[in-house]
Amino acid sequence: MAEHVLELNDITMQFGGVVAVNNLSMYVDKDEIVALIGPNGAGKTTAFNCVTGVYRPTNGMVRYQGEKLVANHPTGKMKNLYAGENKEKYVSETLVRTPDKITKMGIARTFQNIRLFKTQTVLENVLIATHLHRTSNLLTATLRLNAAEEKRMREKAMFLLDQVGLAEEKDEKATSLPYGRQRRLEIARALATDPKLLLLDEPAAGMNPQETDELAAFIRRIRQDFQLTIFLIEHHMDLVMDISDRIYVIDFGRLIATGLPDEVQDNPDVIQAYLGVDEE
Amino acid sequence: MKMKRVIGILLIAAAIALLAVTLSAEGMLDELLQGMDPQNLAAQDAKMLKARDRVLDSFAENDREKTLRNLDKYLENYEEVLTISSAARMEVFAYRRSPVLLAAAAFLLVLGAALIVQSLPGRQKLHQVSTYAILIAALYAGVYIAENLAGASSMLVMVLKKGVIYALIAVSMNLLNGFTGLFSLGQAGFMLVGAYTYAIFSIPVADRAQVYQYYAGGIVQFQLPVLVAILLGGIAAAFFAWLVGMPVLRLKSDYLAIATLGFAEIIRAVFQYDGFGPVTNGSNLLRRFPTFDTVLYPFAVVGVCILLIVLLIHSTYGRAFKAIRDDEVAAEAMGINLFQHKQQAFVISSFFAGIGGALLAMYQTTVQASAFKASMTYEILLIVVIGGMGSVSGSVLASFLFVASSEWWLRFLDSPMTIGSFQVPLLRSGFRMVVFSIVIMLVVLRYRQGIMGDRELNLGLFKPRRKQEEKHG
Repeated sequence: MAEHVLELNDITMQFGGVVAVNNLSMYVDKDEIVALIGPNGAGKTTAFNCVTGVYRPTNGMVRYQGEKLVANHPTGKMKNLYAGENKEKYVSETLVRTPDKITKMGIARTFQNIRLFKTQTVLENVLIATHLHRTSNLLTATLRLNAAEEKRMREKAMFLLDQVGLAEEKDEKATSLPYGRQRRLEIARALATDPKLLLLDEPAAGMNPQETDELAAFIRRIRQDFQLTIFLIEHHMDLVMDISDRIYVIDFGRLIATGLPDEVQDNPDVIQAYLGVDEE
Repeated sequence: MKMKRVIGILLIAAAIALLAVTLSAEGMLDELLQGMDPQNLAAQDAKMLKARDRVLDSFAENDREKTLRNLDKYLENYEEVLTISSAARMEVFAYRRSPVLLAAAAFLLVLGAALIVQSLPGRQKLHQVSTYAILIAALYAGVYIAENLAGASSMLVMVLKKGVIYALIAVSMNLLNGFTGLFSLGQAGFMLVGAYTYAIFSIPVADRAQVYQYYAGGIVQFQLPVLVAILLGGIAAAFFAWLVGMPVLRLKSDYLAIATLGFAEIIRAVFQYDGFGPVTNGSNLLRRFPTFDTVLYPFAVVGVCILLIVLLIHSTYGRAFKAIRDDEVAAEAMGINLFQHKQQAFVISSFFAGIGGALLAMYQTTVQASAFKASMTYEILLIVVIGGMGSVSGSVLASFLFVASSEWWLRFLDSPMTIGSFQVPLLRSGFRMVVFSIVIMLVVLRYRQGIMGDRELNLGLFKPRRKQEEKHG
């Protein structure tokens, strides 16, 4: 069996007594665009944060290209509090990585509520993301002995800005861009870390239908151009149905459906989760 | 373009001529005096001969001020009998003003070279650098001339010396608080480490018995060269920062401030501890270490340090620091190791604070741990805030303004004054600080983001702003 690019096994995230993500298992294969959808508060972003290292899952394991990325089991107070499943399955596993290490391994992300570097220009925002592949140290960088590297960084950043159509605005403050273009800048910044897997957290949030269409084409194009695997969270059904190869649906932290877009669309559980229980 | 090159060459020629005249005047004072003498000097006057010898003696001793005094007396008293040609007059003038002339010549040299560089086509960046070189040369020449005209012990020179040292410390604190967004209050502690390290390793061995009189001459029995000792001061401060940073930098915002403040106080207490007396001299003064006598010395050291900090801020590491300041979560998601970069910023900031501390020790000529209180950190913090968080030039500007107004411009408020028979009320010792506090409050109210905000003083400061206004207008 070929290795999945990303694989979540029995991921549970519990905050105190609240189980935000419950026993979520899923996978993303190479070159796929996979969407994770669900109503508000279903635990989508929490699942994302477990993959990118922002949170440490309470139980379960994440694999990336077959390699263990994150693994944990309930410890300390959580031992008694734990309300999820598979309590004993990962007892011997603990592996925690900080977000920067995970990014270095080739997983980049964007944020639901845009998090650009506010005081920096558009170009600098992308340049910062090229920092992780530096070969210079503090001294050589300060004394400008890394001119070749600096030039490479700038060329790469300009290339990416060109790709997302922001080359013209390179010297403007990032926060002065219109909303839709800030989203693009976030994607360009994520691409600058040379990812193999791109995680997009609600990329179409706050966009109008036309912008959303453009975004769909844009996501397809960067998948092609940068040979990316894309895993995204989205509320916008049009976009999800349009670009996803497969869809996972969660509600109250639990996986309730999975499959091709058409299958998911007609699944009664999904309709119920989104529209509420039919009261007669 | 061609015009610029010609002017540049002319300026360099003028500078060389000026240098030649000044240096020859420096070397040939005795010949000059002999040339002035009347033919029958020996028969003339024993008194006159004596006066002339006094000039030459003090000249041989290399004592400039004394030579000038004696020369003045000699020329004044015997003006009628001496044959003073206009060339000789020029030479004397050149000798009298030689520091000023040398500074002017150096400035002309830089100006000429910069103009020639700018007349060459291409390399926009080189042109920019040469423009900055002119400004910096003008600043340094101006400072040196001011020192020689105002006298080494004048208030102006005091303010320049202390101001430039505070500038380095403020910029180092700004690197941490303004550029990396770490609210640290440990600066006084690291200055103390730098000052003590410098003093301990640079006191002449012969003087140690007296300085360490309660500790049998101390246990350090060697002396390092001044620059090495200063550098060691920075390294020692950086080492302490590295140790302190490991636990402390995992804290956020206010907690970090409290923890660093506490560590600075601990460092102060440790250096005063009697048990370390053989090294630190306990709570007694350290003194008799080498100091600087020209204002150029601290200016040169601080200039190099600030240049390094500016280069760092504009490197890829500086961008990473600023990213951490703007958004820690996003910075970490972009692969920036938060702890590693915070630790780097903390250690570098402390290194330069340590060097600043060493220079401050040289300025004060004595060091005592009890002087490095938290209030010193607050002074520096005040300078950083007034100058603008995230602006190097703001910090430098604010340091000079701060030192000048606290030590000089408001000094008159401390002594009672009567105009006619009217006794001006309120003026008494200590009133200066009241006015000073009010001035600071007004400045902070007027400039919410500090004088410079997060902008820098540079050649394009006014240009882009105007452009933006046009765009919006």
